Amino acid sequence: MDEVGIPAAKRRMDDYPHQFSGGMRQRVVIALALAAEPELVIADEPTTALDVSVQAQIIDVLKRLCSERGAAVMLITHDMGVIAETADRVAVMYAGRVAEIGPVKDVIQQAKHPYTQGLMGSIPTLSHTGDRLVQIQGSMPRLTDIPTGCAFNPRCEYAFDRCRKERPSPIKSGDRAVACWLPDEGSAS
Amino acid sequence: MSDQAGKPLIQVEGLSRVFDLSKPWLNRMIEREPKRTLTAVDDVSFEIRKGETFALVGESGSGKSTIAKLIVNLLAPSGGRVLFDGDDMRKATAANARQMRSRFQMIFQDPFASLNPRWRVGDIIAEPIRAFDLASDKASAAKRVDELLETVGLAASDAAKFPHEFSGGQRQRVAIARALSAKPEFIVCDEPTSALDVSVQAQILNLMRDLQDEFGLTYLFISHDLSVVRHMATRIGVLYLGRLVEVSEGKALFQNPQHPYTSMLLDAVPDLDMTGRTRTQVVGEIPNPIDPPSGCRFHPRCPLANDRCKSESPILQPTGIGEAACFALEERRRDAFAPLAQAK
Repeated sequence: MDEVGIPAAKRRMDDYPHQFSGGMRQRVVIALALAAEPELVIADEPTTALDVSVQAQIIDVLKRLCSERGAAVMLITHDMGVIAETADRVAVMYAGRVAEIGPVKDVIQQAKHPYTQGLMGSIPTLSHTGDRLVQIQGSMPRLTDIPTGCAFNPRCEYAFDRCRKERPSPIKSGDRAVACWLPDEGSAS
Repeated sequence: MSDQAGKPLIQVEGLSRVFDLSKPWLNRMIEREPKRTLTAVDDVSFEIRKGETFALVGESGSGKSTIAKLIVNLLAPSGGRVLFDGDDMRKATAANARQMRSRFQMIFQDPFASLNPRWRVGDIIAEPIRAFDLASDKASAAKRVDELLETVGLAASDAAKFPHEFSGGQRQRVAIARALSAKPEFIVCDEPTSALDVSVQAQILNLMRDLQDEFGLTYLFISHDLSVVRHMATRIGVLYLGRLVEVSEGKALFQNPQHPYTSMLLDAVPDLDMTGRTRTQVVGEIPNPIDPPSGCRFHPRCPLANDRCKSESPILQPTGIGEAACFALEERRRDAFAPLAQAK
């Protein structure tokens, strides 16, 4: 408990969870996860319920402990900022499939999949002051009713015939892979 | 709206709200416990000008939502007052209060909880129209509902559906249509996008901006997401434990935060640009508001705190850019801390 940064850990051993704040509780959970010396930690939205200032602390703890112990972390989140700060590689999911996978820096700065591009544009950032946010038309399809071909095709502005018929598999190029017919076609942006 | 731009629409003066958390009287007598109170909002003053978006930011428990409820008169203040276009709603006669009520609306955080699941969307949107007698007959009310649905990007035929048939983003559009139906001038948006995904959030934020331009709306925008606030707000107030610590123009606040708490908050936001800047380590958490620290409430977490901060409570002072409540600024001790803001 000391390692995850809980003050006066000895004294708090006998406390119940409700006596801790949100950030402290999440630290307890991290301690719990690390107790068995795992090689892989799966963190499902570990900071979504927390305030930004506490979120920053939790990310720090997670990063530090896992690098000290050499554990791999699989971080699941919808917050791109957290990914940019924490992860080495990122996979972008859409309707149950991986749309794009690659090193964080490449994916965020030069997204290849139209969905990733739209997603990046729709995030308001602290440094950017555009008037409008890029928006992806429509919304996620129901998972019981995924469109044929590429699942993203009804919302994709570059979609062409092949996208509506065939489902693309991730195509490798270097350390990245993109599930999209566009690069193949040579007409990609 | 340009002729009246800059005139205050809402004036909040010395607003406070105290919640009583004491046990029942008999228990207190038997256990000899004193009364326990929680000061959610403590002497907060600001004004919202016509046509602007005023944002309130702060961590959980800083009193954002309490202020929203006090402004729309869902809660009674323990001290201070709220003036809407110069009138105090609590002192107005019933008829006047009713008339004032039609001029402001609220959009809530959770579109899954704020729409009655047993009502059709058309009835939900028509409710304010009926409540304020804004339509002469049923047909014209229905026509207005159709128009509103189209304004927010839904189809007129959606009026016959129930809320559960819509996604989160679409429900929030319904909530916006309901807020617009009474033709308000002022809308309080309490975390309108925090239950939504980013791609849907972008749609809703764009919609809110378009509607503001179209109808000349004034927004009070409450959020804990600083990047959303930066995108939307004209002016920003930063709350900490029920007190306003800084008020500033939107852009200036992000380029040059004055109060150490604002700097800390900005620094904690994860960053898409990956500039690799070094962060100041965030220390501690927001204290329990039942037992707030003495003096400046931020002093236990503040790197610049001295003895004065522990005993006296600072008030908002002009800083040249906006206003901030901090002794370190007043005494010009803040400079040592300045590089924080210059990362960008």
